Amino acid sequence: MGILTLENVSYVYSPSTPFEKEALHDVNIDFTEGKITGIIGHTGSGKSTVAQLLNGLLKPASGKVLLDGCDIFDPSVKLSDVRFRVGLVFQYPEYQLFEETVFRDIAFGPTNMGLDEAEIKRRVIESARFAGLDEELLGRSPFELSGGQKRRAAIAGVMAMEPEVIVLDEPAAGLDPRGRDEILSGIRRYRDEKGNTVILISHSMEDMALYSDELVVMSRGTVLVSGTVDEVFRQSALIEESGLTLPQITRVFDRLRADGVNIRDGVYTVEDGYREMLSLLKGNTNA
Amino acid sequence: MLKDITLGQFFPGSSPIHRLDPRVKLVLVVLLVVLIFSAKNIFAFSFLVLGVISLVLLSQISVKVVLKAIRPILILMLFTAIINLFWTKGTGDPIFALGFIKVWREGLVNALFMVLRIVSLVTGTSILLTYTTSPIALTDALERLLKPLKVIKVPVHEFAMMMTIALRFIPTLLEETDKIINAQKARGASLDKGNLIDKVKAFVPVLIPLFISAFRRADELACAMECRCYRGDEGRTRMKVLKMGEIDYLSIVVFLVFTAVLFFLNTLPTSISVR
Amino acid sequence: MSEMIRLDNVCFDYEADEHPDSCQGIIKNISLSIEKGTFVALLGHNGSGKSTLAKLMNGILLPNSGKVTVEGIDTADEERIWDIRRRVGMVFQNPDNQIVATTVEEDVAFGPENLGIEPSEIRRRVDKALESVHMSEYKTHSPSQLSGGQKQRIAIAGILAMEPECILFDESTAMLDPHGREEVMAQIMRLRREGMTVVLITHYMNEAVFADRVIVVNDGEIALDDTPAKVFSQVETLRSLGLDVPQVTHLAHLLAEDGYGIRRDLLFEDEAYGELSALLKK
Repeated sequence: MGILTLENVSYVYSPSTPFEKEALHDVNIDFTEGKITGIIGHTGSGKSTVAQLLNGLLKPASGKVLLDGCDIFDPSVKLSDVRFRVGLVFQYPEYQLFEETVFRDIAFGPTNMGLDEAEIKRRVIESARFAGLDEELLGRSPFELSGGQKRRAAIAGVMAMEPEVIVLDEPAAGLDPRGRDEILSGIRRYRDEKGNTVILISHSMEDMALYSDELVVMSRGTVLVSGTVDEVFRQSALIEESGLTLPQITRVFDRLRADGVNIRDGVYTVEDGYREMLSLLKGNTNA
Repeated sequence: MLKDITLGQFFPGSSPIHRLDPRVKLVLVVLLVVLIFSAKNIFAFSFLVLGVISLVLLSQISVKVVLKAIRPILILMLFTAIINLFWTKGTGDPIFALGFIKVWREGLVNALFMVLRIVSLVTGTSILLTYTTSPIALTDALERLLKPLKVIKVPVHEFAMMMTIALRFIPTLLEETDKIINAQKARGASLDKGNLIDKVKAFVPVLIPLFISAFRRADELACAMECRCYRGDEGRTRMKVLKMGEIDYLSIVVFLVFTAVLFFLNTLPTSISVR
Repeated sequence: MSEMIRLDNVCFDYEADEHPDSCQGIIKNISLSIEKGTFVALLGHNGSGKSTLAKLMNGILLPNSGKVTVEGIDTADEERIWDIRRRVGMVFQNPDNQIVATTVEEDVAFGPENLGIEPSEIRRRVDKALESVHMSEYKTHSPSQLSGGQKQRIAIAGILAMEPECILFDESTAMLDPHGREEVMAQIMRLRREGMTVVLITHYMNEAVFADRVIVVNDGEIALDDTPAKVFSQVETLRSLGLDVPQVTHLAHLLAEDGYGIRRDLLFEDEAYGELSALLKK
């Protein structure tokens, strides 16, 4: 069993009103410790609901959310502890910055945890580094930063709490390609060095293919496919049926394979495609 | 949680009341309030209640919804009823006495009439205005009714525009507040502990982002409005022109007749009347 | 073809007062001309000056030096600023912050109302604009009940009701999910077919590939200005400017660098499929 598990979880919005809507139906997901897991789906697929269930902001209608094997809604478990152990970064987190300096903003979470000053300082500096923020920026007002820097400061604010699991909802939304790469590689750097579990929520197949180890594809409140990135991309037909857009390269190679070209299934990055093409072309010249 | 707060509970529809010119409705509401407080005896009150019931029926708004509007003021009604019941001194013997608590017949009548007034007031205004008039129509009507005040330099159009924008952004800002609260909670902020000062302090992490976001929105909105050629009231026309129709004139006539009858009933001799 | 927007040696900086003569600000001496009826994509990373450039095109910002004209009207001409704004509409990034009214149809009517148009004509335009973005059934809805893509369609309708010649989209797809982006792109493609001049500011290359012309802005200057195929085939340059290229263009680039005979200007799935099939059959 992984570090965080959803067991037969269902969730209903506005229960017993005319607006009642089942957002999740019998969802089972097992998040592996130390891995980056990407949750992909359309708006309304239930992926954001999953994010809020994971740290107890929402309570499942039925089923369990298990953290290290313990039900987080068990009366003996303090929900505030769960929130410290499972950090959640919302969409457009830069809009929650409020302190006078970037340093103090990043320190807000650790301070709420009651840590001593030296430890807080260590964590702020470390997480700023993960997020790719220069130390000289820490003394500035967060409102003087660029859009991408603000986003990174907000993410550092949650990283500084050193949660065992960090959940990020669309961390790269609205950023340009450079900003997106900086954030996603910072998140990977954090995982590589701290070994903590990361859950990314996104609707970009391309980004998730590049930055995750495992994928969960959601559709209409259920899990459609899950597994390692390779395993999931092998089910490309199923993914496309659910209305998600596959990476352009996957579609091209799927079509070539359908023509009988001997290509492995689940090509999803340019590097993959390039390697496949080279081996085919060299094979041709040899033959 | 914050999203559940409904503001200006407008129920779209096409009943005669919905179709009334909002300006007429505004004026009629003011007159209705006057009428409610001029009813004096049992005949006038019965007639008034009859009038309010016909309003409800005409508007095709369900009775359930109307009762919902009354629920929040039940305590207020009870309170005024009790005050009227025990504090009205009548002539003759009290009909009920227990120690120093004495209830006269007049007190009973006053309490009953007070409750009827409050119910008619709430039902009448919500049926005529909030339930059947969209907030924008209401702002519009206010702007047009108050237009003469422009002569004495009251910025009527600007106030109306501010009201429209406020109405437009209330749901957006409520949703945003919800989001920020959740985000700060996820960072371990405790927003509901300690005494009042602690609570106010704890809300700083919510209020600052909210203000900053509101200013950013205002800035962007102003730019978008300029791009759509907004330059104040001057030379501006409206898509929906308010025009009084048959139904409006008819309703005014009906209302005047209603008023006349009510005042006549007030003069009828009866012992069941407000003191 | 006639000219829609023209920039002549335009310089701009928000703090221009401090160095009035220098041209080292956000926009550095840009000259360019946009023909009527073309679909131009303006690419560049955040802070490159692309949004500033758009705001110069409808007189929201005025150049410190140089001249911007819209159908020959100088944007600095205060008398005619409303003529310019009516001709060149703008759809912004945040769908929430450009909707003024509490119902969809009232919001679409906002622009024509400001232009002082007859009520019956406003009604006609509002109905037509809502029809064209397929939002007629939502006309009495409150904007807060709509999805991001729907809100942007309302914003587009609000501009269309002013009957403009040109629409600037200032990162109008950036905050939307893929479905919302498709909705907006479908509208842009339709407008282009109907002869509207469209300027789309974006950092999604899969939107820019549909344009007639791609202008890449970097550090206040025009770095590249050509057809999408020619611009995107310069893979190294684009990547050094912090921009993406379509995956198939990147793949073709890698293969071509290795000496394989493959077109470098592939943009679309179909083209790539054809080229790769042909290459494998050789």
